[in-house]
Amino acid sequence: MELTRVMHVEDDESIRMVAEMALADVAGFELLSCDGGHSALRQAEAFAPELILLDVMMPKMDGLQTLAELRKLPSLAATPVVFMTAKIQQAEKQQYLDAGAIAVVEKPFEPMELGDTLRELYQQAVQP
Amino acid sequence: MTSKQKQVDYKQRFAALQQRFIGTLTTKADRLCQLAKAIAQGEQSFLAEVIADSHQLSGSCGTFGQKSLGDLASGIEQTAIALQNSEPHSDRTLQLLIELTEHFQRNVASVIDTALNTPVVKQAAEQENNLIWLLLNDALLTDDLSRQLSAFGYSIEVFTDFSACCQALDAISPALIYSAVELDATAGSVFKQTDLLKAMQEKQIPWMLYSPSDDFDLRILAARHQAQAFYVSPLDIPAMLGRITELMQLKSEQKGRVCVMDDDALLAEHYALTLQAAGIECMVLAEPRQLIQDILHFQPELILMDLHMPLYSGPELAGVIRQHDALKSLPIVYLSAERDQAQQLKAMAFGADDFMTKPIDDAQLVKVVQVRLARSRELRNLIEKDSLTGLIKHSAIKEVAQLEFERAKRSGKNVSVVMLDIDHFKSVNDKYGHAIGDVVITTLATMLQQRIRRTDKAGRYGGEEFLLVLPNCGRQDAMPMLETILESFRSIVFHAAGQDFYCTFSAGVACSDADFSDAEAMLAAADERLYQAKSLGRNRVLA
Repeated sequence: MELTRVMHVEDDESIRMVAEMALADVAGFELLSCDGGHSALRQAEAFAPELILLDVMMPKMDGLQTLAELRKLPSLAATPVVFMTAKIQQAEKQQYLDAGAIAVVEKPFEPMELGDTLRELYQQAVQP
Repeated sequence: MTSKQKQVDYKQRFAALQQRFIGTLTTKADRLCQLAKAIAQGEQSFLAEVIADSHQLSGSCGTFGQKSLGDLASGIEQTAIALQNSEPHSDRTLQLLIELTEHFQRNVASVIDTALNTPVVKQAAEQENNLIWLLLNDALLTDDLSRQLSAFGYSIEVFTDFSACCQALDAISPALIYSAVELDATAGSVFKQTDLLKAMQEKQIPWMLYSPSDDFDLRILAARHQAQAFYVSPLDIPAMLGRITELMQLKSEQKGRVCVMDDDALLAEHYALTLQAAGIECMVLAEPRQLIQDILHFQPELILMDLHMPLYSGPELAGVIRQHDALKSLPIVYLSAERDQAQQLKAMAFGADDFMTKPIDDAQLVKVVQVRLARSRELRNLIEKDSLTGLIKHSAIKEVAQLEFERAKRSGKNVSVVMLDIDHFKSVNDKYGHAIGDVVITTLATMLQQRIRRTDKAGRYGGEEFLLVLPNCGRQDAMPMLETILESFRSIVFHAAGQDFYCTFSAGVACSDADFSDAEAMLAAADERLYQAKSLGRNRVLA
């Protein structure tokens, strides 16, 4: 299955803009870009993403909380989630994987390659 | 724009995002510094904020190509976390946090300095430059030149030896250097001053030479070292002034004014930044319905427009622009990913002048715009400018008056017009001949152009008659400006037939606040005042 619809949740506007370019313009995904967990929760079901890219450190509702809330929505209970964060320790990374993420992508990222990375992670996740 | 076209432009979009991101860094760095200092004074609650901010920066800086800033932010984050975990706070760690945030602040400043538009800053400084350096050892000539150049609004600095001038060049760049071939016998000619010549060439400072006698070898040397002019004693000051003004105008005109219209706001912003970095003034047209007003206000020399925009197409908007008489000949260049020639031809029929195919790289964009600007300027000059004075011709300046009168009426602001006539000009012609009469005319023309504001327009109305159009200017502002010009003009010494003589002018001012029915009536009123000024004894300005 080919990845087409991606939801991105990120509070940093500049990262949101560059990701918009990387994912919508360069990779050609249909993209929903949200500036925080609350706005993501409001729009997620209607958009029905095939993959969710979540920033870890956000004010109000962080990545882990957002993930927990998203999982309560029936249609998103099994949607693959990728966390994105600045450099972290292996233990912390394990914590995100344990929470149900399929992968953790590190910032800084290369804008021209982000789409391909997500495409590969998605392929691995949906393979039977 | 379709997503496919956007994809083509992603490099420029990313460059625009980088520029924008770097632009936000100063505020962020300042904030980190303040927070670190507050923490040192016991405001522990800010620690969480420092961790969050530096964490964000450690991710974003690298993404936007600032890896070392990202690493530094990461170091700040680690230090803040260590501080959070140690209770009581270690002084050394606290000190490290402050040092790191200050370091970050400094690095941000240098990144902004080097990465972001240093040329823009440089250009802005150049625009204000009206400094002329005189390297002369003839006290009489120096005095005379200083006085006359000052009358044209230039600042003068005098040097009497080459090495002092060369040293001063380290710190500041004048707009022009006027040098004698030789200052004293020991130092030798200016062509032996290799350091000075090198510095002038590096800083691209135009220079002119003055020689006591004509000499072919000297002229060859001057040409070899790219001197802009070669004057032989006795110096023809009015001719030299004309050449200086020409040079200065060339310098400022080369920059130009461009409007950019693209539905992709980020791209439009990037084009504008790129052109601005090359010294071209730029305005982004964001709102199609405001288009005409914005264009009339900004007065661009060229419009760059996206061919495909969601609400109105480029050709439709070009059509609207062409409906306005004053904008009929404004060049429009389309930016488009369109390779279909039929489409382009169709757009040309609607009044476009050319196409640039996206993606267009930054250097190419600047080059193409500069070439187009120069070409359209040449054409416009041929059509609109008077060949003797370089001022706008009769018909064109009347059009300007009309345009500004209507604009003033719409905006509720004032416009003033000035009719100006050289006193006893016929007797100058009769006594010294037409060639000298032309010198007087060009001298006044040069002075007018030099002294009016950039938004003002000066035209040659008749033989020795001039018309100035001063938008956004009431009587009380116009009067002192004209008084100063008159004072400067009458201080200029003309030389002819072995004699020195002076000239004056009379002027009449009319302002739109007097409720004229049209521009024609306002011009007639200014003419009436001019007539009164003449009959009251000339050499005066009447409003």
